Amino acid sequence: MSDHIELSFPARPEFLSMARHLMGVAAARVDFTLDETEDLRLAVEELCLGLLDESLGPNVAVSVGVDLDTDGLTVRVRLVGSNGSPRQTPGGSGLPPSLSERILDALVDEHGESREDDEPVAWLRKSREHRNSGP
Amino acid sequence: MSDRRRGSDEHATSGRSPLDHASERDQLIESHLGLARHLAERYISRGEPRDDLFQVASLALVKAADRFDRSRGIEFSTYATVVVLGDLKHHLRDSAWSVRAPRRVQETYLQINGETDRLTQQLRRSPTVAELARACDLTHEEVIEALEAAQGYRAGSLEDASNGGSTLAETLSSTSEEHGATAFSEQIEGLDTTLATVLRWRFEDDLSQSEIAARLGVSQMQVSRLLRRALDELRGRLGRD
Repeated sequence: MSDHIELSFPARPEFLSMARHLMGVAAARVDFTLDETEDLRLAVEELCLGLLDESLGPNVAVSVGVDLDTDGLTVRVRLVGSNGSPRQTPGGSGLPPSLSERILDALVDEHGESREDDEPVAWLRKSREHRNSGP
Repeated sequence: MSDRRRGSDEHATSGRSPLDHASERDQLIESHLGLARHLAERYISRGEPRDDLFQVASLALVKAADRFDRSRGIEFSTYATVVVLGDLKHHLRDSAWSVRAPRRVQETYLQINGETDRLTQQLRRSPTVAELARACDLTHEEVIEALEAAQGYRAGSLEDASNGGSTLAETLSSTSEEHGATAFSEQIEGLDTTLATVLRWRFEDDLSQSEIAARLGVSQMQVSRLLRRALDELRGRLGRD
């Protein structure tokens, strides 16, 4: 399995529920447990909030890309349409960096920031835990 | 018909366990609907619509009939009372939808919530959507829809949150642990005790949401809502440096 899902929504906190919903659907596709799914939702919410702040213009969108594979999924979050002037460093409405780091460390396997097409991208990776089979 | 009479009737038809005849199961449910209504009426003063309470009690009665094992030697009315009261309390604890979900979705959520608890105990981990769908005879989409709708449940005040009698604060005081002054505990200082404890268990002690739920005697969904609320409060208070 190697599916890609892309979702864009206005860069405002009231639209974050769309990202949470996407994570619920994506996590079910790769057979995450409810614990893993809820962790993923919290992590993606923190990633998105880290990119949002009040200075963003009205036409800026958050793009959430999800790549599903047989072991889990990778999520990339970026801002789109920020007036051609990509943000140099993530700021936003998330937690202070040290606390954000700790929270994400606990919720996902890997996370970080990179640059793609000269734009900052926040990403995370979560894999299914090895577990006993169901009934 | 009194409970005693019903009990005698049950034993008169004993010999198979659990109930393996649909007609026998249906008869048992039908003859105990009065009991379900009586138990639901105990909670009418809590502000939930009478019909909703009766519906929760009726669904719990069906669940009790499905799981009743007469070989254990207890009367169905006794077993059903425990199951119905448990589900009513569960409903009142978790319920009150902040966004009114369709009744079908609410019913599905109640069913899923019960199965989640059962499967978590059985599997010793939280279930997947596929496992819940199989256990509840639902499609994956129906399970996902109900879980999404569960986000619309009001968490309720922390004082109201209970695990069958005790408030979370009382439960926490009986399970309190000493934590040294770590950087993390300094960052969450000032948060409500319940929220701070749930954060510490998840992000310092690395307990899963299900493990925290078991400690507190609440559902995993309730822990999820508490965690989100705690993080929201922290974001509001601390912001970015």
